[in-house]
Amino acid sequence: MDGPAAVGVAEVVKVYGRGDAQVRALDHVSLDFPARRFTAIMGPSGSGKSTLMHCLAGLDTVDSGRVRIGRTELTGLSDAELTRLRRDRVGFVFQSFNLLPTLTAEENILLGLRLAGRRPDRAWFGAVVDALGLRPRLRHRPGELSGGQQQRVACARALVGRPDVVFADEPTGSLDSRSGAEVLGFLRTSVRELGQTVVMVTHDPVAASYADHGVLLADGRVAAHLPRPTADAVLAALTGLGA
Amino acid sequence: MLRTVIAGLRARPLRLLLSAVAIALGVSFVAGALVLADAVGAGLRAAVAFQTRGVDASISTTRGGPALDEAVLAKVRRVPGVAAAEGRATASAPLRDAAGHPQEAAATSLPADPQLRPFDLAEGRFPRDANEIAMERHTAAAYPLGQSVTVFDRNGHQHSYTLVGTFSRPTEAGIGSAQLVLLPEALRQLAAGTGFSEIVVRATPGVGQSQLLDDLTRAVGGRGTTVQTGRDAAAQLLREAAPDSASLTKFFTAFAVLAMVVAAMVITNSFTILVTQRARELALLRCVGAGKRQVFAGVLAEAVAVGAVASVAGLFGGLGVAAALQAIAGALSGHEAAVYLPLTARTALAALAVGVLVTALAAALPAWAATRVAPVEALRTPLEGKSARAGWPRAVAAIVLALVGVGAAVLALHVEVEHGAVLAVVAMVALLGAVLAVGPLVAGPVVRALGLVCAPVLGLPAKLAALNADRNPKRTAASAAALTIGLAVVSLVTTVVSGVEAGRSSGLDQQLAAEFTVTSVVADQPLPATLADTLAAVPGVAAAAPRRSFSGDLGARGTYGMAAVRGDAVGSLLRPVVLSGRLDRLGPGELAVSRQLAKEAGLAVGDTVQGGPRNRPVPLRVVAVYDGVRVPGADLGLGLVDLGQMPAIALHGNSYDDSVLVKLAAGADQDQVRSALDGALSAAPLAQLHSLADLKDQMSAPLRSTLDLLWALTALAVLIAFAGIANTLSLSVLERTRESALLRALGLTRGGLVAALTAESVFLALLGAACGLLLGIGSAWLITQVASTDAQPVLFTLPWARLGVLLGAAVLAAPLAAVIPARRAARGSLTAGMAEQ
Repeated sequence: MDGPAAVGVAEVVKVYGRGDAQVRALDHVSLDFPARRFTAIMGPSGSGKSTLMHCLAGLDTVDSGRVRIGRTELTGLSDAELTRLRRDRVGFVFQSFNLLPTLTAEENILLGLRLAGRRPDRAWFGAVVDALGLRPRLRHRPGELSGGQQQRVACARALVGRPDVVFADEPTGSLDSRSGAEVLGFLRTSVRELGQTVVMVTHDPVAASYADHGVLLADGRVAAHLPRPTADAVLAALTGLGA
Repeated sequence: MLRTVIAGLRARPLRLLLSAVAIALGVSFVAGALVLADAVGAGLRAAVAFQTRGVDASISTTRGGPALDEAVLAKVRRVPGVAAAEGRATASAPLRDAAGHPQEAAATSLPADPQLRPFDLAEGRFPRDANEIAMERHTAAAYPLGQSVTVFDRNGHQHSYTLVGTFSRPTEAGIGSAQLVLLPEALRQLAAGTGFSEIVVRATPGVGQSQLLDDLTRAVGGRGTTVQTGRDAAAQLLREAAPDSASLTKFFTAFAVLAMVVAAMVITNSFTILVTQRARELALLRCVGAGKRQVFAGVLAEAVAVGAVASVAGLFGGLGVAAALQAIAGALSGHEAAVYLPLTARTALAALAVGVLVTALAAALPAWAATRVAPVEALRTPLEGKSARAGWPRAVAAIVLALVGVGAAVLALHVEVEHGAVLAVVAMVALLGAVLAVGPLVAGPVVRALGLVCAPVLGLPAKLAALNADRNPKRTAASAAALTIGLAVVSLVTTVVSGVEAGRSSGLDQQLAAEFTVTSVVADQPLPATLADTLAAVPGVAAAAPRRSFSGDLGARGTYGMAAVRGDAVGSLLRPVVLSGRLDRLGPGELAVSRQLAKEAGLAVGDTVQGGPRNRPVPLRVVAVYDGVRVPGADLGLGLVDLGQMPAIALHGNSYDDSVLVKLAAGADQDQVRSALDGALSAAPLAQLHSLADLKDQMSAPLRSTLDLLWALTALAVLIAFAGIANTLSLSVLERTRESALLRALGLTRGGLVAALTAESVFLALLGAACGLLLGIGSAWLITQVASTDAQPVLFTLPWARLGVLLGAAVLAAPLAAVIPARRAARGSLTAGMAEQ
C-alpha cells in the first residue's frame, strides 16, 4: 500500500446482541485505506464488511478501537460532529440508490451541499454530471429514471462535494450487469482521473475486479489482501474461505 | 388467512396502536357529546326527583282556583293514611348585600317532616325559631354561620335572621328552587298572605296510593283542585321544565353530529394510510397464492376487530370527556352541579357504529384498490402511489359545489329573512364541501408557497417539509380537513355571536336614550309612584320617566304583552326604530305596535282597535309601527301606550316589571350622578340601578356562557384534529424511515430532521386553520347580512382577540403534534433505517 492513508481503523471491535445471540461483527480489525485509491472490501454474507463500512463512515459507533478519516479521530465525536463530518468529508453510494423521491435529480445531487449550506462549485458539478451522462436527466425525479440512472445520480451526489472519501455499499447490487459496469467504470474513473478516494463493499467478484486493491473479510477479521484483484482471483479466494 | 392477519397485526403494533388511538379519540368525542346531550335530561330528572322525593300525593290548585291555606292543610292532615302533609310556599325575599343593595333571592318554608324536605342539611342545623334562617350552600359562601342575614320583604322592610345552617341539593338544573329556608311562621311574617303553591303528602306505610288519592279527593277535592300521585306531580314538573333543556339537548346532539364528521375524517385518514402502506405486503400475499377475496376479507376483518376494540375504549373515554366537561362547567358556574353519565343504547350504538363502520369503510377502499392491482406490479411499484394525485372529477365537484354555494349565498342576500336563513345554510354546507373537495388540489401549491416563504428563515428543513407535505396532497388535505371543520364552526359561531352582541348593543343605544334604568328586584312589586319625580330632581338628571309592562287587552284582537311609558318620553328617552307612521310622542287614545303585533293582528298605521273590557271599550288609534330590542327595564313589548292609558286596557289591572328611565343632562359626570342616584334610591330599598353598560352585560351574559360551552366542545374537536395530524405524521415517519436515515447519513442533523417535521406539522395546521377561519368568517358574514334588521341589527364585527387565540392555538399546537413523531424520526438508528425496505 502506497500513499498517505485517507481512512483507517485500528483494533476495531463491534459486537451485536448479547449472551448466546452475541455476534462479533468486527473482531480487532486494523486497516488503512490509501488516498486516491479504489479499495474493495469483500467477503461472504455476515463477514462484517457492511458493518466495517458503517463504522468507517461514522454511521455506526464501534465498541472499542479507533476510526480515523484524514486526521480526524471519529471515536468520541458527538452526533452533531459526526453529522458535520459526514456532510463535509464523506460521500455515499448505496445499493438501493436511496434518492429522495420528492426531489429532482439535480436537487438530489446537490442535497448534501444544501444541507451543509455550501455553494456548489458549478464547474465541478458540470464535470461530474457530464462524466456520468446525467445532463439531460437533471430535471427528472427518481421515479422517472432507470435503476442505472438513479445509481449514477447517487454517484454524482457522492462526488459533488469533493469528499475525502466515497463509500459505496454494494453499488451494483440492484443493477443489471451493463448498468453495473457503467457505475463501476465511473467510480474507477473518479479515482484515476478526478483524484477521489473510493472504498467499496461488495461480494461480487466482477465488481471487485474494478478496484486497485481488495481486502477480504471473514467472520469479522481480515482474511486476505488481494492487490490488483481479478474476478477469478477474488472468486478463488472467496471459494477458499467457504471451503 | 386469519393467522396471517393476526401475525401482521402483531408485527406492527405501533402502526396499529396509532390507528386505534385515532379511532378511540374520535369515538370518545362522539360518545361524549351524546352523553352530554342525555345528561341534560338526566340532571333535570334528578332535580325533579329530588324536589318530589318522599311525596306520595300532591295537591295543587289551578290558576284562579280555591286557595291552599292552613285550613286545607289541617283537613289534609286529618285524612286517614296520611303520615305527614306539608304546605309548600315560596316568597320573593331579596337578600341585602354588603353595599345595602337588594340581590334577588327566594325563601321557602321548612317542612316539619324531614322526609318531605327537598334539600339536605350541609352544615349547622335547620332553623328552630322564627329568627333563624338556613341558606343554600353556594349562596351562603359569603356568609359564615352565626352571622346576621338581612332580607327585604315585598314592601322593602328589612328582616334580620341568624344564619344557623346551610343545605344542599344534588343539582340546580333550572327548576328554580329557593335559596333561603325559614320556619313557616317566619315566612308568613315575611310574606303575609302567601298561600301554598302545593300541599305534599306522605302516606303511612301500607296505605295504597289509589286509596290515599281517593281519600284526599273526598276530603279536599273539588273544582280547580288537583290531587295527584307524587309520580304524576313529578311528571308534570318535568314537562313544565323540559323546553329549556330540550334546546340544550339539541345543541349537544348537533355537536355530536359534528363530532361524527370529524371523527370519521381522522379515522379514515389514519386507516387509509395504514392499508396503503401495506399494499406491498398484500401483493406478496397474492403472489404466494392468496385470493383477492381472501386478502380483502382479511383486511376487513382486521379493521373491524381493531375498530371494535378501539370503539369500546373510546366509548368509556367519552364518559370521561362528559364527566370532565360537566365538572369544569360546574366549577365555573359556582352552582350545585352533579355529574351525570347516562349511557343509553343510542349512545353506545352510535359510538360503536361510527368506530366500526367508518374503520371498515376506511380500510375497505384502499384494500379494494390494492387487490385490483396485479400482484407483481404492486411488488415493483414504490410505496408512493400515483393515485395520490387529485384528478379532474374532484376539480369539477369542487367547482360545482362552489357555484352552488355562491349562488345560494347571493340569493340569500336578496330574499326574505326566513328563506334567506335556509339558503344561507345551503350556501355554507356547499362551500364547506367545496373547500374539502378542493383541498387535495390546493394543498400542494399552498404548502410549496409556505415552504418558499419559510425557506429563508428555516433553510432546507422548510423545503423538505413542503416537499413531504406535497408528496401526498390527499393525505395532507385530509389531515388538515378535520382542523378546517372544527375551526370553521367555532369561528363562525364566535363571529356571529360577537355580531349579535354588537348589534344588540347598538340596537340598545338606538332605542334607549337614557343612561340609567331603575328596576324593582321583586318583579310584581311596583316601584314607589313618586320615584320618577324624586330621581328627576337629582342634580345632573335631565329627565326621568316611568315605564311598566302589562298584559294589554286588545279586545277581539287578543291579549298581548305590552308596555306603557309616559307619553312625552317616547321619542326622547325611548326611540325605537319606526317602520311606518310617526313616533315622537304618544298621547291618550294612541297606540304604537311592534312589527310582530302588526303582522299577527293585521294592524297598520291609521287603524283603530277597541281595547279594554267589552263593557267599557277604549278606542285606540295605531300611530306607528316600530321594531324594538328586548331588554330588561326598557322593554317595549308588542305594543306601546301612554302610561295614563294603561289602566283602561290592562288585563285584571295588573302591571309588572316597573322601571324608571333616567337621562342625564348634557355634560353631567356619570359617576357623580350615579352616587347621587344611589342616595336618592335609599327611599326605595327594592330598587336596583343599572347603567347602560350593565344592561349590555346582562343581555350578552347568556350568549357568552353558550359561547364558552361551545368553545370547550370545539376545543375537543380541535384537539382531535391535532391528534389526527400527529397520527398522520407518525405514520409518515414510519413510512419514511429510510429517507430519514438517508438524510441523516448525508449530513442532516437531528435538529434539522425535527425542524423539518415540525415545519410540516405547522404547514398542515396553517392550511387547515386558514381554510377553517376563512370559511367560518365568510359564513358569519353571510349570516349577519341575512339576519340583520334595522331594529335588531347583527353587525359583522371580527372578534379579533378570540380569532387570534384560535389561530395562535392552532399554530402553537402544531409543533406539539410533531413532538412524538419527530423524536421517533430523530432517534432512529441510521444503519437500521437504511436497511429497512
